[in-house]
Amino acid sequence: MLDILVNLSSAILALTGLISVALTDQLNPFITMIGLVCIAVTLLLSSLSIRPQTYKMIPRSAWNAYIILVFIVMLLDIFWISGSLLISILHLSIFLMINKLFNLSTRKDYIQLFLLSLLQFLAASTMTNKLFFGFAVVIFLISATWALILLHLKYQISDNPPSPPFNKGGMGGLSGEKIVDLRFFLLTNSVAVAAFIITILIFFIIPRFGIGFMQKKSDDRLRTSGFTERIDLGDIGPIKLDNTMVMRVRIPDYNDSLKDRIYWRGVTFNFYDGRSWSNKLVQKFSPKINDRGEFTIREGSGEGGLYQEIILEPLDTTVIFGASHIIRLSANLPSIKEDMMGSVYIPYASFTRLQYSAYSKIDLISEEDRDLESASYPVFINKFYLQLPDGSEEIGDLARRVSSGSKTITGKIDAIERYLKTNYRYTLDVKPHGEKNPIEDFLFVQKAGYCEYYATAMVVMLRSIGVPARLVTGFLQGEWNEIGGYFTVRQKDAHSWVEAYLPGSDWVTFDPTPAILIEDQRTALSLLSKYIDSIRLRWDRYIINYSLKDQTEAIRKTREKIRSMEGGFQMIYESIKRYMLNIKGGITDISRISIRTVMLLSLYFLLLAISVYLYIRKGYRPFRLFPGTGADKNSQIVELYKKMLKLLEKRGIIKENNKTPLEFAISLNTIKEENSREVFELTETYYRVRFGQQPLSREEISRISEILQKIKKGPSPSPSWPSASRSR
Amino acid sequence: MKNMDKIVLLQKNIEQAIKGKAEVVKMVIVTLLARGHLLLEDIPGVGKTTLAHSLARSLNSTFKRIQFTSDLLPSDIIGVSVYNQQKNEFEFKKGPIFSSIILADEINRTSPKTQSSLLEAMNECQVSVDNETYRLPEPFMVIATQNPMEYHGTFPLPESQLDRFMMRLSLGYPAEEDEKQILLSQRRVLPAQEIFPVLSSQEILELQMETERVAVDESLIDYLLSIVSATRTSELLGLGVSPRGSIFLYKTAKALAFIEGRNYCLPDDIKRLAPFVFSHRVIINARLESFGKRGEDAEKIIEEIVEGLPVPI
Repeated sequence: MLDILVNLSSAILALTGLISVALTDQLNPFITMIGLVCIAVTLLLSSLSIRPQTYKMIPRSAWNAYIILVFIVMLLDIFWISGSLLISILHLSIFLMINKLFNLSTRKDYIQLFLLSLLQFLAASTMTNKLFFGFAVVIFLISATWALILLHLKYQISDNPPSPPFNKGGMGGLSGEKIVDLRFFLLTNSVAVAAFIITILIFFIIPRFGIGFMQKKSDDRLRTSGFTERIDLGDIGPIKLDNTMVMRVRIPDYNDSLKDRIYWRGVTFNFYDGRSWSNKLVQKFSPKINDRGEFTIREGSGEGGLYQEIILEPLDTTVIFGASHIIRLSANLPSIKEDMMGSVYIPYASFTRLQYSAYSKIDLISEEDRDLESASYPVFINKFYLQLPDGSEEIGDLARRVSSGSKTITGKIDAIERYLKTNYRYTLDVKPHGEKNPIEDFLFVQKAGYCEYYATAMVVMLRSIGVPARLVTGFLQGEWNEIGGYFTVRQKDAHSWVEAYLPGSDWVTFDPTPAILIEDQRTALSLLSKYIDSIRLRWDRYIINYSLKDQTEAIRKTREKIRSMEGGFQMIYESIKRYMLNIKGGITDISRISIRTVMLLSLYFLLLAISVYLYIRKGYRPFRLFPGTGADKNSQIVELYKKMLKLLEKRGIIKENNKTPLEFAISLNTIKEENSREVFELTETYYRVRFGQQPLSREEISRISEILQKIKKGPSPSPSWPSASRSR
Repeated sequence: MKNMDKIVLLQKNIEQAIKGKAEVVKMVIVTLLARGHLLLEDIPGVGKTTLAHSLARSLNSTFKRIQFTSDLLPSDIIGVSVYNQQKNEFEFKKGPIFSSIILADEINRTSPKTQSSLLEAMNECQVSVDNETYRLPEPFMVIATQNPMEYHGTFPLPESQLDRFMMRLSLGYPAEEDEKQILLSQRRVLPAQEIFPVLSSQEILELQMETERVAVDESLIDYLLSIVSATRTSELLGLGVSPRGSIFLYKTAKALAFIEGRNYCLPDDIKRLAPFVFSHRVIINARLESFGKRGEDAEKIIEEIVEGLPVPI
């Protein structure tokens, strides 16, 4: 029984190690499959109670040859097949594991198998930062605890065969079948769980340096388009079908009034040559850092703003995103750059996930701009934001026709936006333009397109009626994850829109693209995927990227909590003081008692209350009030022993106070008392439990009640001895 | 080899030389495991020296026998500083006390001055000579013998010296059957000389460490203390048991439990050991004191006191 359990748990441990390393997706799938099959075979064999070591179909020499072969394969592996030392060592470990699994005979074999699986597990920990590894840790901990304890038991028992019967009262022999029951597994599991909890505590408490140790470079950055310094019309279209995650944005103060008003702004373009957009204001500069260590993007925008925490997947672009318009930004980066149009760049494209927080000012058209009929713009604006490509006269005519109905600038902008929104059909399937001007093709021929066409058309139309405008690329709001309180932004949310300049309100966002009807995704499956995504985010946030900064933050928050509690105490204290003063007329000068004393006193009374409560509750005695009364955890056996004494007393046999229980039992034997054997047996158990602090097993309890029954029945037929005489 | 086997082996080994005194042999081993010193008090010729000798020979450690005579000086025991002409300095020559087992034979025959030279060694396991302190080897055990009957030219041990012995034992006459065995086994070689070492010093130290792990329930400590305070208040005794006495009873109770194969003490252990550990520490009230057989009387009184006290349940 125990052997089967040891082999099973070893195989499970091996399986855990192999699966955790296999899930990193870096091993040769063929070798992984071989390993899995072999483990499955041994699992099957050991559960069918065929011990692998007795399953000796393959001779020893074959195994030796196998090991030599495996090492040769490893050499080849290092240089030609996988080309990586770590990977080839892992492949080797799988092969060695197979060998060990089929040749488990000595303790050494088991230990080696465990070490191999530990090696794989550790390797997996360096190779992945995925969520599954968290589960792997738990499973590995549990199975390793089982396997080690079972192995220890197995050899403990085979090294110490059950002792001869004379030692019965003392430390009896161990028996595997007796020990390994449900209780044993619960116990070992609680050990594993405790270890896990302690590990987590240590993980969160021990100071971290910089960002997470475990952070690993991802192999590929996400390929994006539309965020370079020059884009061709039609660049964004293809990625609109891609469901890959780009970033997650947590907004603590999100409310419904912000719905559909947030655009994740990326790159801004001001120059359109008829086919592609580019940025003529390429000059970048470093923003100032304020006294809180934040980068100030738009100087003079003031404090406040919408706070966002953004986790950006590794992208192939250096631009970073935020709700338009970012005013301040803080990130664990040495420097960032901004350009003249409010786009923010990191120094180089990151290979790791980037985490930063930003404050944004959500734009709003000011009242004065609403009634503005004509405006004069700064030279700078005129120079860079009114450029038009050659041959856009026809578009200009259309713009003037559409906007002629309104007098104000904002009215004209709205008219153009509405015109585009209502008269054109949204499609990702745009026919090639050939030699034609793409925007004219969109406006007058195809009358269908996607965001880039809408936005470009709107910019050209605005500029032709003299309104400064520019094109922005970025992302739509994305999907709101109400479980985690954040937006999930995917590639398919890529978007481009328009910003127009109004003298009183600065740049204002307009989006001429008609809203695409998105089917309601509140199905059970999507809810589940939201849950999983939210767990994954927390895993990344609090495990993978857990840093010193988070620790200081946690400490700060705790301190604030305590402070606020102290404030609460102060209030209670003040009211008590006032009350007391009212009663006693100020006889006692309690104002001298400091708040600290009150806090200490209340803490003291709390502890006192808790300990009294625990003391009253049966079964918990942190200290003993009345030593020697036996009122502690082994009181049960004392009660049983006293019961026996009472039963004997009824028959006139009295134990004198100065006799030890053993002396009493022996004296019963010398007066040939009928039940002296039973008394002796109970005394032995009593001694072992009462003074040896050994637990009273269920069998012993039932045996004792048997004995008590016997004593109660009294001696059979003839009580010829005057039983009291000797013991008196 | 397991601990129990080692102890059984040691016991059997000593019993080869001392026949029919299993209880005394057990107490000797208790003292050894509790790191104490032993005082054997009995009439000549019952095997005091043989017992000490056979214990010493059973252990693979250094053994010295010091015959205490009236002209013995402290330096004869501890050692002496001798002037070394070549090195031009004093050199300490270690005395016989630098061994693991010391047999102090006829300890009451020497002057109190010499008896006291053992005090530091027995208590702190070290000796100080000429402002230098020397560690003694471990395990360290003094087995002293004395004859209670003969008082000519003896100096009875002072209380301070007596208190340092963990136990006082007496062998008593052997049973007839055992004495027959003794006579039959007489050969040219002394029985103690035929004994071979069975345990090393290291093993003794390990066993001593194990002994300390034996659990003692709180109620037993209360029981022990009730005995101690009873000796202090008893009308029969002029002087009660010192705190050192209660410490020694506590330690020996652990050792006895260990020897009997338990990892916890019982009230029986304490009850059984009290006379051996306490009898030489008490002084019988002067009004009651009978000349001569003081030791046995004290033992009886302790037994009476213990019998009068309730045992914890």
